[in-house]
Amino acid sequence: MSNQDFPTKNLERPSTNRPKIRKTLPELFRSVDLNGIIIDCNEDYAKRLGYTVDEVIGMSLFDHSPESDRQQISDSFETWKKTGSVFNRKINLISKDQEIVKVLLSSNNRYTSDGKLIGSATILRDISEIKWLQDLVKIKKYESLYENSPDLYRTVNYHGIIIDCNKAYADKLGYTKDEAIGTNLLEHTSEKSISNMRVNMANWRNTGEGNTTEVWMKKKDGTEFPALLTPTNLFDDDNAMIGRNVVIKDITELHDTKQNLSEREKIDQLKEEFLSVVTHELKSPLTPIIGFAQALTKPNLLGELNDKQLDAVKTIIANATRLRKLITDLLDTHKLELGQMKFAEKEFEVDSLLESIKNSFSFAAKEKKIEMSFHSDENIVIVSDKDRIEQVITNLIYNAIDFVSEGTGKIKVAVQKQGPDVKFSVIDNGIGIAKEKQKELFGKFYQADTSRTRKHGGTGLGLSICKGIIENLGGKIGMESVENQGSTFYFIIPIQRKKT
Amino acid sequence: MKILGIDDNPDIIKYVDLTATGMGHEFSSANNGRDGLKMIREKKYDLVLLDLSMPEFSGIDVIDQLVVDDIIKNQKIVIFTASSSTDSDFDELIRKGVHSYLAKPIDIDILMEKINEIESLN
Repeated sequence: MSNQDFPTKNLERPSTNRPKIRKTLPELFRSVDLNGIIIDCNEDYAKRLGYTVDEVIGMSLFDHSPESDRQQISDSFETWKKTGSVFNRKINLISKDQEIVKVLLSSNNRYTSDGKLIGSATILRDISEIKWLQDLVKIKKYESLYENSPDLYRTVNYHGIIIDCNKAYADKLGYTKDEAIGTNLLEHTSEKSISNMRVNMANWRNTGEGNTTEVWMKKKDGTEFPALLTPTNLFDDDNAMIGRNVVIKDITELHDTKQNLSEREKIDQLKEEFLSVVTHELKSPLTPIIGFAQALTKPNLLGELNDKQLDAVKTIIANATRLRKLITDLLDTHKLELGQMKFAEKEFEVDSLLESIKNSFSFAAKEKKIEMSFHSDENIVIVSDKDRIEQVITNLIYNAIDFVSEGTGKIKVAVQKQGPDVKFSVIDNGIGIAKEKQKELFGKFYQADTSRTRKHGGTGLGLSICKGIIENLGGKIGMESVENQGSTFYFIIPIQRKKT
Repeated sequence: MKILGIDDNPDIIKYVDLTATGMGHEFSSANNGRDGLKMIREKKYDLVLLDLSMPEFSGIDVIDQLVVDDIIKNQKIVIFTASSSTDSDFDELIRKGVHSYLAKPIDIDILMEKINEIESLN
């Protein structure tokens, strides 16, 4: 927009809409000659000092200075005559009735056309007027703040009678201001908060102290709302307490939010209980399913099956086992999310841990023709959760079995001491994992594409559970992998478990 | 061995019965904690397989009562549990005199191994 287009005219407010402006600073004006004789003054000057303009003209400026100030005025008058220098400063004037009027002086010299000083023209601002106006503005300011505040204000006396309130208060409670003023504050208090309010008032009367309190307020129509009351005491000129001013904030919204939150907490708790019950109930039938299916594979228990029957039974076992793993993983994930998984802190030997893992995998390793080896620094004793660490290593080994090929697969479990920590590694010579997929591995429901070599079903939760467990044991988990060469999954945990 | 199984799930009792009997042991059962406790008080068993979570009178109640009776030290009690509680929860039960625990669902090999382990102790 160019300057010419700028609608300057519209910016001016029409004079009829101008607010009424109180003339806050009446300016007194006087003009004196070199003898100090007042040769002119305005109406305000004369009036403020109790004279008429005609009376003032011809008087000496010294006549308008109090006796006590005359020497000083005279000195500066002489200086002015010699040098022409004037000062803006405060001086006292004296009125016809001997009243002192404080003014702020600001003078301009008057010269003849050839530059000779002939006198001064002075504007005097009435300071006492400013002070009075300031007080007025102050009161007005607070009155306006009180009256127009969106918060509810009420002022009560010593006995709890409402002596004033603002519009917001009256409106909110459904009364007119006239109705509200003069009633006992208890009439505006909900029944459930009355005893609380009585105690609060009694306490205030005794000690003069009052804290912010939560109270249920009652409206004229009987409905209630929660409010936060913040009192400040009011004192008279002798510093005696006469009452209290109370800011009342409607906290319905806050209260509702709090209510919603606690309801949601309750729902969360129910969900939690539901999941744990469901998990338990899902697991129960698995014992006879897996148990009997396994019993069928034992000729000495239920007789010998033919090959087709045995194959069918083994399929049942494999799938039931997968279902069991799924249920356990879901429960573990849920527990980790809620921070409800419990961790033991017991001393144990790494060797005994590895022995137990070795035993549980000996059958699988033989069956899948995978070479498994275990290496450990000697005599490592750690204080942590043995079962959970076994769970993590077992999980990593199952993953490794998925990655390696039957016949040529090698899986090595290594344990090394590293200062205050112990590093557990599960190293395989399998297909490896592409770089771009590596960082997603520890997320939930991630499954590496192992369809080529897949030997057991997974939930996609395994590594995220491992990560959760290791972090809870105060350690960290990671991996390195080169495609077609193999992967190393490792975790490092403190020898003495650190609580997280 | 004389083995007692206490579990409110009859299918689990049947499974444990099949396994124990198949291994040549003598198996008795109760489908609630109260009856199980009565049987332990009346007769000495070489192994008690006890389910923890049973309605009304649970496995914990049975254990507590055996502690009160001061006969828990005469028993080899192996707990069945479906909850995935960790070691720390069982420390208390082990301290009270329980031998060990098996997490449900119980693999037949693990169950057989446990029975053999207890047999070797007796």
